[in-house]
Amino acid sequence: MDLSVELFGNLLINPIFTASGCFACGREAAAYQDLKAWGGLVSTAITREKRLGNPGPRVCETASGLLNSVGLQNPGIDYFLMYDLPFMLEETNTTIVNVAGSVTEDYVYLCEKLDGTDIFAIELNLSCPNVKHGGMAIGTHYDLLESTVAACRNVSSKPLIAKLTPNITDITEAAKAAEAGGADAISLVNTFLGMAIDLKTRRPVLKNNTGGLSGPCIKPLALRMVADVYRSVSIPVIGLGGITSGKDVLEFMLAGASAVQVGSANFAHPHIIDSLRKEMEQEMRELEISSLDAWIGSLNYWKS
Amino acid sequence: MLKEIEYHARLIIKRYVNPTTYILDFACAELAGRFQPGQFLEIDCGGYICRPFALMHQDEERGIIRVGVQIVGESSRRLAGLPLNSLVKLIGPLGNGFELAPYKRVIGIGGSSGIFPLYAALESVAEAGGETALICGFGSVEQAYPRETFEELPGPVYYSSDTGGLDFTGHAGACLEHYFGDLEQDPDLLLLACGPRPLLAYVQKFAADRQIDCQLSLETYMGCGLGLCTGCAVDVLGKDGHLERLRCCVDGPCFDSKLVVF
Repeated sequence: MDLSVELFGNLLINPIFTASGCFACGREAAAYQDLKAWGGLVSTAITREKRLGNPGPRVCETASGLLNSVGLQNPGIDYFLMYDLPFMLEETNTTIVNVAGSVTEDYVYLCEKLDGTDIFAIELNLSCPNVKHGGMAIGTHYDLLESTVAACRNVSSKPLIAKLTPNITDITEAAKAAEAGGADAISLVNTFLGMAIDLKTRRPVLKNNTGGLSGPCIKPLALRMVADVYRSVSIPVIGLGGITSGKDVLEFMLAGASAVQVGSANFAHPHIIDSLRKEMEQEMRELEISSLDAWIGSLNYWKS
Repeated sequence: MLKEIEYHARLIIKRYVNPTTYILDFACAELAGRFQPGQFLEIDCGGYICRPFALMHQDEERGIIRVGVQIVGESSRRLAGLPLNSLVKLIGPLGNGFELAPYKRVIGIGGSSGIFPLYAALESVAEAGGETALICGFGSVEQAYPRETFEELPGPVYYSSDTGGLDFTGHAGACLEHYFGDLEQDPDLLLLACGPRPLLAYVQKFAADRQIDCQLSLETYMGCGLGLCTGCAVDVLGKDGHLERLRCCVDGPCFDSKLVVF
């Protein structure tokens, strides 16, 4: 069964990427799985300087989901370029680097730093809910979102993926702003802002008080947004949010995703990429899907 | 060569040790014997993500691994409530264990479920011919585990509780002070602790004041246990003395107590 898809003029062996922040830079997982089973890897968010992230506790299990407030812990771009990127380029089929900053200039700086490398694409993290500045603060202001993407577009020859937050009134407006700014693709959704409470301590479980919610509990929300964004822009959409099965991948693609990302499902399933591929193949045989290209966005809506 | 870390195991023995704690034995020949004391495993408790539990004991010959489960939330409640013969997914061995060489005399200080990884360590020390002692802190007499839980350890086992009725009245740190307050620096001596943070901080200071080597097994909320999510960060001093936020799962959970920042 052929799982290959085309993205940015390149053929991917399958449409499944890891999601940023859920796979580090691949080194840990390389001990127990073949990273080349993935269509590609997306790095954890990389910032200009090293970041320690937020104090703990910063993860909490919820019903069918996971709440996190990591806060972009990473070693900084210089360390990443020296130690992690060579590993990713060597050990993976395609490498997408996720970058995050506080202000537009940070994103521009990071895009410039990555321009001479052999990466497949840059994902602009305009959607982190766990930092005070940048991230979601940019992604919820359409003008700032558009100008940030445009500023990166000016300095980068790499395909740019704008990763959007769902914590917004109308995500299609954000998608249109990213497209207007020159993005080559949209990835959605980042996590939903949420809270968990401990009755005994009368405190939020997370030290950051709030965190980003991921997992199967957000899948229907993410699917709706992917479907809406797909019909609002003409650039490719990369879908993510609660994918745990091959069926989920096909649902996101039917809603319009050219590729997908798998995040927190990696935590409980060290070999999830193998099961996703097997399940996709089995499902495609049963549904008699011969080409994923024709499947993408072919959702047949009810007429009202 | 890829490392195998995911297994299915059958729950074969369940022992009640206090109203919220059970000791579970799983039949898993592939995993038994592969753990260092202090390492842990993730167990699929029926929720979205797996939950971490320290190894208490492993029997390579019989293919058994043992964990203690304290019920603190929905996942641990489901795990403790599983009927015998249930098939459960396990991921392990995970993390860095205690460094027990070259110590000949090891004292473990644990609070409630923090006692379990110490048991694994002391058992290993005893097998190698070393001396052991274990201090167990419990919330009350009702919460104290049956004495036979630790009967295979050759050295003394002291039970303490703030509310009295056990060997020592006071917390486990004060119990350490009571029985071992005159300890002095000794290259053969190691302290190990696992439990609530105030207890760990107490043991850290006790060891530092006497220049005794000490290792702490830290507990924190974990997302994956595999080093992927960076959720389980703990504050530790790095090589250059600067504050580092390390992953408890792959950089720990056992750390030299001198490096841990509370």
